[in-house]
Amino acid sequence: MVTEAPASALGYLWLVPAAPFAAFLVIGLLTRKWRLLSAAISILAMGLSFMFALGAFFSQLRLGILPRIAQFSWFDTGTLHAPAGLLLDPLSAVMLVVVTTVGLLVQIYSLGYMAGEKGLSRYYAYMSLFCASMLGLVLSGNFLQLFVFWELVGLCSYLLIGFWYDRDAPAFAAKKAFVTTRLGDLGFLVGVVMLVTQAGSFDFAEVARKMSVEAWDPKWTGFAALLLFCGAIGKSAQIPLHVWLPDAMEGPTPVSALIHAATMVAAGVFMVARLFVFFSASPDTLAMVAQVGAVTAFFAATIALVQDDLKRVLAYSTISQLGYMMLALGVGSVTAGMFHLWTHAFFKALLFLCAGAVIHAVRTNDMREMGGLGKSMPWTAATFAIGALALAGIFPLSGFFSKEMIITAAGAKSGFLATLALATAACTGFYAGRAFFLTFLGSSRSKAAPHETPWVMRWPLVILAGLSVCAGWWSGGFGAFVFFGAPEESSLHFLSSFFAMLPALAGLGFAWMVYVNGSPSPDRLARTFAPIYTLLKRRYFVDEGYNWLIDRVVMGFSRALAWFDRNVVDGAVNGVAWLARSGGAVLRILQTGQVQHYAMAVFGGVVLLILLARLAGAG
Amino acid sequence: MPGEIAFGVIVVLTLGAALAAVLSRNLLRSALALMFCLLGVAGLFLMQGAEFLSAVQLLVYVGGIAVLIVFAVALLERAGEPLAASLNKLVPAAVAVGAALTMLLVVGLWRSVIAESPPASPGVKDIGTALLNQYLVPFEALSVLLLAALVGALLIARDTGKEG
Amino acid sequence: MFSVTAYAVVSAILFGIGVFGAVARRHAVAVLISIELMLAAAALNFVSFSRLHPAQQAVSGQVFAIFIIAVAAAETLVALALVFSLHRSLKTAHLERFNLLKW
Repeated sequence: MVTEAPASALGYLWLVPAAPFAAFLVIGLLTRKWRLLSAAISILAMGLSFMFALGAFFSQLRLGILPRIAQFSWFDTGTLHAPAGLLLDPLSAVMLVVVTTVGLLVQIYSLGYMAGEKGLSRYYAYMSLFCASMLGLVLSGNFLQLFVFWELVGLCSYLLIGFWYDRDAPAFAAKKAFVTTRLGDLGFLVGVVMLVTQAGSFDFAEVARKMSVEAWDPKWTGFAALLLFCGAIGKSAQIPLHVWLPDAMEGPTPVSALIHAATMVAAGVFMVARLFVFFSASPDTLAMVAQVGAVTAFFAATIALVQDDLKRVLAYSTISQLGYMMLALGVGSVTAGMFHLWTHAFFKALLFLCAGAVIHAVRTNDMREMGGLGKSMPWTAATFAIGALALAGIFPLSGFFSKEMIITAAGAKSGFLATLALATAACTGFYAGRAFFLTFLGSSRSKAAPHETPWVMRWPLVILAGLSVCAGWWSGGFGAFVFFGAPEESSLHFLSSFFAMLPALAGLGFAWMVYVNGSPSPDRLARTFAPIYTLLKRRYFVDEGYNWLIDRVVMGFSRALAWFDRNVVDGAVNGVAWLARSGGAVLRILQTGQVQHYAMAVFGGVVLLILLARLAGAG
Repeated sequence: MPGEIAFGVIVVLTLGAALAAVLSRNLLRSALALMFCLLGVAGLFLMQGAEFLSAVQLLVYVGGIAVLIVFAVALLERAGEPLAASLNKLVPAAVAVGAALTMLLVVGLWRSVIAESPPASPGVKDIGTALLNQYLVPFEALSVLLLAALVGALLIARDTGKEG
Repeated sequence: MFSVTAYAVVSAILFGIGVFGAVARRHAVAVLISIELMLAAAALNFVSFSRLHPAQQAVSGQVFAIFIIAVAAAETLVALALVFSLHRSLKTAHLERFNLLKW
């Protein structure tokens, strides 16, 4: 039941997306020249947004789980009624907190990280636009608005990945990201159109109501939901559309932290949760979601084991954790999926920002050129450790609670899925430990003289570390706040929970053995498992596969069409011209300039006419 | 009977002279043949009872136009033009077209039924009356035409002194 | 012979000969002669067919024949003037040489 409430009841909720959007406009139009002013405007707007988001969140906590919606009619064409407005319910309240918190912290961090950057105003303008779009997305109450902001968010991702547009790699990466997510968005659009036209309305509640009242065919609904999931596969970098996320690391690290760890990629998860009523209509679709999520989680985690680029390890880790969230949704637990989204946002953003600090200090992404940074960057090392432990799911950090929730839910549904999840947990533990050990322990392998991060960058790290610790403690009440169907009880059974932690601990321990103690040595391991190692190192050759596909199939088709266009279409046009010219050349022969030839023609014509007249008269 | 013989003779004269005019190599002979042909036509007019017309034909056509052509041929010849091969490359086509046209006309005439009627032979008086009543405008226009032709011919043919 | 058909046939043959000459002769004056033949044939035709009508209308044929003669005179005049002028510039009266309007 959605309670229609007058706009005033939602207070200043509209400011939450409007403030960053206004900042975008102001920076884009007015203050481009003054970089620090632009930064200040953006951060101020974000701060405002954060405050009101918190206000909305707490009001929602107080008032219970009933959604409140304020909508007005955007346009109405008679047959099509397009609303626009804000939907506040536990789901969107949680997302509001996530987006504004991480957004604000990342923007503050960027002051330090991107200091001296020429395009700083542009950066903050895009950042503000992104935050505004993301907030608009989570506050959407209808398909039209959702789609608009979905695309806007994708646009901002493109703009920010390709922030350093004068370099090849970021430009290509941005293009790859956009095109890949576009593929997913195609399916998404078809799914949206299907549902909207069937129901005759854009509004979520309205469509859901129609679905149950008119008793739509569950297979059909399930198919539409599957198409919607395509969009999530693209946006949340699930297999097979995951290829853009690792390349997106070409963008500035704060961008990676905000967009490609905490928020935008989570939009896919959010969308499935928001539209879960359509997914739950078809068990087959849900099974698909769960399988895709589980396979993605394991697959990406294995790749992360052997990557040398710190940011890429984190990127594949993100893909893997998103897979966990999809798995949770697929087995029917919106609570588990969203809770993991909540905790993951904080510790993953933390990890990325720490990585940014490290990269900033040693001027390289490659972990083989790092080492021993724990001594010169103690704060960074400590916060990174907290983030890594949270990622691995070690008690009492936040990741433990959310991951445990997922594994339990998966185990209830399918042993296979649960096994996959546990195996992934083991890998996670290993690569998280590996990342920490290679970067911060041991002797220094870098040439640069690293220094600790300035305070403007350190504060966000500390705050996020604190959140990574505490965010999990809400697991008891979360199930009563965000759920689908019936509230989920906190299922913290100590024995089984600790059992679930074992694989992660094993992974961590093994990483310790390899990278701190040195036995077995990494090289020996690589040699022993050479074929597997190559497979993982080359990321299962997926990119190569896609390139082959595009080059052979798509480009081949394009070349054929181009040939057709050049020869047949242009040929036809040119042929017409050629016909005219040669026709003229032939007819020109008649112009001899000889009077008697012309006279000949006249008399001949007269003969013909007489003949025709005779024939006509006779016939 | 005599009428028929006369008719035959005049027809032979006319058509024979026509052929001679068209096929002759010598331009002067061609012009003279034209004169004879027109003479024959005058005779045909006479046979049909158009005496006035026949006289006009003789006076104007034969005595004026054909003579003019003879003069022209003589002048041109003096200008140094050799009377070379007289027919051009279109002969076969011309034969074909001419023959076709003639055949079509003749066949058409032969097939059609033309009522025999007593000959109507208007006299000079009738012609004069018609010229000045019914055909007054064309008659006057004709005089203007002749004037224009005169002036035009003078202008075209005068020696401006530049060419040569 | 009072048969209109016969005279009409004669005029047709005469016309055909004139057509041949107009197309197949080289010299301009020869072509002019052939055109005169055609005109004469036409006049003959007019007069022949005029006899089919009662006297009042029969006069039209002869009047028209007179017109033909007058026009032929004017036309011959101008044509000869043209031939003279052309002969002065190009030194020839052969129609084949007058092909400046060829493409």
